[in-house]
Amino acid sequence: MKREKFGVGDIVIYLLLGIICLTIVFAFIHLLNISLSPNGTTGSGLMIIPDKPTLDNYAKVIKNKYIWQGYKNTLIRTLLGTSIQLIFTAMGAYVLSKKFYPHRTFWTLLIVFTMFFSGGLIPTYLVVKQLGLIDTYAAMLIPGLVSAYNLTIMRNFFQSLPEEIEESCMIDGAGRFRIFWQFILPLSTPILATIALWLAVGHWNAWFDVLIYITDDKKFTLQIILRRIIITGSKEILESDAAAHSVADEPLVSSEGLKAASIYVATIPILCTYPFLQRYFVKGIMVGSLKG
Amino acid sequence: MTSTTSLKKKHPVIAELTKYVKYWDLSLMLLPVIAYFVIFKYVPMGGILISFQDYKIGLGLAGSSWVGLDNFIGAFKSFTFIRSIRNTLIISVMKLAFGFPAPILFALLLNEVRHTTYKKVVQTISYLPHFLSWVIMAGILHQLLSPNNGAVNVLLMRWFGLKKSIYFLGDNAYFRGTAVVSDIWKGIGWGSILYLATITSIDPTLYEAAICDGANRRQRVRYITLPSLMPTITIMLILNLGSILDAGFDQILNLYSAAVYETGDIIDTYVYRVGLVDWNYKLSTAIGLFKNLIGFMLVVSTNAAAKKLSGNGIW
Amino acid sequence: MTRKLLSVLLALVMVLTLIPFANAEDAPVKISVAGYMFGPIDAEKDVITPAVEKMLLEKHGINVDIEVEYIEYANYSEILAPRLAGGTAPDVFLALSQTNLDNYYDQGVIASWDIDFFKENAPDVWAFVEAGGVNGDLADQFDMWLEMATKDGKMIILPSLKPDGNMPYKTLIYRGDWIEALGITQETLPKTVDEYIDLLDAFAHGDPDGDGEADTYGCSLTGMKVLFGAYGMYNGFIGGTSYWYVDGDEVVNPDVSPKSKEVVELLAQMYADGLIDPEFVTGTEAATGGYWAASAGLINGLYGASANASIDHFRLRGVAGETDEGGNVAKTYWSVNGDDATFVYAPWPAGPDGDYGWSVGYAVAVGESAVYNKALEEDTDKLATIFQILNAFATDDELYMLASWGIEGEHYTVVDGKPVRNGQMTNPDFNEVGIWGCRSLYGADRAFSELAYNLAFYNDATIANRLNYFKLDQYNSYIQDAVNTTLPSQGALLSDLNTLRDEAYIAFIKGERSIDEWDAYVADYMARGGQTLYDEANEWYANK
Repeated sequence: MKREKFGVGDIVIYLLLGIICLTIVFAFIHLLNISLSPNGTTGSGLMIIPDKPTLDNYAKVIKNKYIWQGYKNTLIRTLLGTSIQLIFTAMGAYVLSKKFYPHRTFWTLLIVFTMFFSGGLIPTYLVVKQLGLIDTYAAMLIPGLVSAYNLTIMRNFFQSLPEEIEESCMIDGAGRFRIFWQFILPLSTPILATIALWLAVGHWNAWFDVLIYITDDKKFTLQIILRRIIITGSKEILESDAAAHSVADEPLVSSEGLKAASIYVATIPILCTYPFLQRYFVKGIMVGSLKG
Repeated sequence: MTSTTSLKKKHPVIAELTKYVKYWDLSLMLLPVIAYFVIFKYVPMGGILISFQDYKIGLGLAGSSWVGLDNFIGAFKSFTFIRSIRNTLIISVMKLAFGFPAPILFALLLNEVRHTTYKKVVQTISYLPHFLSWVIMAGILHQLLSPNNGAVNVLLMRWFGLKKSIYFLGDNAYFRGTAVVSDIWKGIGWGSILYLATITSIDPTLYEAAICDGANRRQRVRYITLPSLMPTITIMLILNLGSILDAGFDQILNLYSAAVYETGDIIDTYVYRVGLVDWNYKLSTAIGLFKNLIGFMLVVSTNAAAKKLSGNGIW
Repeated sequence: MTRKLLSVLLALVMVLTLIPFANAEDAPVKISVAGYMFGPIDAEKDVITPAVEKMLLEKHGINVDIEVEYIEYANYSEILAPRLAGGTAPDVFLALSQTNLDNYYDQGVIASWDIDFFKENAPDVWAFVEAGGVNGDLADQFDMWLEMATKDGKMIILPSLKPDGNMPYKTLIYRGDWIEALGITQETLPKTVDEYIDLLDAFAHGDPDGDGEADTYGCSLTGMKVLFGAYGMYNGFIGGTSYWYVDGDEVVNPDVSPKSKEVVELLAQMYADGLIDPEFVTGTEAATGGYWAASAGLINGLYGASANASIDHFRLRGVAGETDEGGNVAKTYWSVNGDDATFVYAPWPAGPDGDYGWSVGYAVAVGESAVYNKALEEDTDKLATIFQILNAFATDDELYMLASWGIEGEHYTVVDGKPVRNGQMTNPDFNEVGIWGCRSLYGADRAFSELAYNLAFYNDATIANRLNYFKLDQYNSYIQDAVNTTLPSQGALLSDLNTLRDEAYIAFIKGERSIDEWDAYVADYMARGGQTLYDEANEWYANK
């Protein structure tokens, strides 16, 4: 491609994006400030580093003995969950992107319908329980196996792929499975990477299903452990027999500070994976070259 | 030959079913997905009946008594509920009008950045707010937007000559705007991922041809990038319309206060407050059903319109 | 590889052979309980639960296997609901409040039982309650206890008897440096509403922080609510529910009472004069400060008066023993304002009729007491076993100490005849080893025994501190809810009515609505359900 001049338009674009990023960076510095302050009372809005910075909040989070177990569980959950869900979503989306597949509209509607009408928490819990999934790792993976939303978006992408490639493959004697694995998926890396990122972050941040379906401490994920640290760190029982002890001897850690510290503890690992994912967003350009 | 003749004689239902056998490999791929939706979505769907019951956990779905439309009528009798519908619609439409195009614009702008390092840095930073829950965001916003020495007011007064500080989160005149802007800020980067992914899969030869024809950058965006994004935009718009009555529960709950109920109280925060009397599943299910019915109708109609206009829809 | 497989098979065989034993007749009764806890129990570190089980078996002949589970408080009901529906809920869980208990009962998820059944299995607990606790201090509370414990003639819960339950707990605090800068001494602290407003005015306009800028206020929400107390009411203004008060032979709702109009008028004037922090509308002074009882504005020097915390939170150093570093909020205050910074405990300003103070609770309460799964109605043996354990807790001090305090020398030491908890351990640490786990069978509060009451109340240094403090003139509070029950229509109406009140008050105070419209607001309030509540409350009161 010919290189164009760096004009006024570029300057405006660069500045605009820069300003958006600056506000974000500012907010995160503010958060860092809260996480480093000894109590939640950082008053004025323009401080960068608190007067008396302390790592107490981080120490409290990192020293928790469940935290590494939580990291491990979350990592396993994210890797397994993302790959399983991605495969099933892609398979469903691929089939429904085929105009010739019988009763395609019916099946699509059947799936889309569930985006709007659901039985709610209790009936779903009962199904999960009937299937014997309570307190198993499967309870974090199976009940959310395919998202109708993601499937719709992926189906839309597959529909935009040129049909000719597949037809020529068919002529060469390749079955649908092979075409799906060897041609469709590699051609779709941008959308796969997008959905994978959504799924991975969803798994990484998920906590409610763990809270409802899991009772075994050993299976708890990072987010649940962090919630516990925050809740127990700020819990106050004034009128119990533990009151005197609680008020006097609990280390003075603010819940705001703990929350802020836990954001960093929880978010940094997943941000580190992002540069690896980023290249897949560019790879998809191959579509055009193949077609040509 | 004999097989074709016998096929013709077969019952139409069987003829239909044989189509699945013909595409047996595709059917095999679809089967687990459909099975999933039937087991985990359709089996529990009986729970919708709670909307029409005086539901008690101890009695279960089978044992609870039927009350017809009482749960719906009860909600509509509340003046705060009626108001919350209005607020939900206003905030939702504002978010749709400004928040929906924002990530598209962001993706287009980012696509024009030619320094890859700058592009990657901007992209990565722009995703960061997605990782902040609204509880955390609210803590930050309450501080930054505080009328007492909040950073934003300090800046406005020092540099832009504002006389009296603005209470962005406590003033009915500003609350909705603040909610929409903070929502855009939080979601703009994350929301642009899909559009960026779609842009990367546009055939580069199209651009090359356009450059040969002397098209400038604005023209290329207008005649190549945007049209290629259109199917994705359409799908996303339809999907967004489906949740028109979700104005952002987590966000509003953490940002609002009694001072701005007038403009900020939405359906979900109403249900949350009323549900303080624990386990008000009959009310939340009924209102959820109401919200989704409207969302579903909107999706059905916009989908039909989109298909007519562009041949593109979600089914 | 084959060896590994063999050992797994062997283990499997062993487990299978164990199953018949588990089914044997003398098997322990399994009791699962979602405890009142600070954190989870660590199965590997848990020394207390097995010890309690052993002691129950050896001393009391009760063979049980107690399984304590930690359910997060933040989502307690949300987690419990599907499990109750699915039959996977624990045998024993907690009622977090009166409303919560009413809800459990209404939803049909908790067991009820005959009073005689309880007397039979836990005679000593019953006797202790009937006698009114230690020295008969609470003998006059028994009727209320029984009323709270029963529904439709059957018991559903064991309310706690708390000698400190009806003690005042909130306290009015001023910034010490501001008071000093304004030349006010302990003797000249405001004692009336007028003096109080004058002081807030000085806080706002007298530059108490001496920086030459008009950047301070008098108070925020709790400092405003002090005025309702001066008119003899507790008003739930912003997010809360008000306490009914007696006026003649009827009970009145403060939300719409003429006295509240007077207070709101005062507040509107104060707001107009710049005495009130505009962020009072967030409904919490700790909005960005984290800890619920902290008042960020007071600590950071934005305003000078707050009643958001208790005397315990603002406890001075050394009150509860030599190692006492002071109350939690006090520590925050010192960490921001310097170790020498002071705060002033202030008397409540009195109104025209001499009323003053804040809300106080009752000595009998259901909050955080245990309730029992509906399934136990069919399994009366298990329910009987639970009550027998409660009785053991009430009669066996050794057992009580083990369950609530742990092992002597390890988790606590005895100093001057009083147990002192191990200062190296935090509350979650105590939970990890199993302390407070088994005692959750009766809930959060103390067992029904003299020892437990002495430890938690009569011999407690922080309680002694409170008692001394509230003896001072105009420091105590006495405003109780005259309607101590859940009204039939409360659940359906109160949320809307509280919203209506909060919006109206805020509009009046900020001057967006003229106080002349008060009557219109009252009419609106009554029409939208206020009248129903009034009728129900007075009917209940008349029958009391």
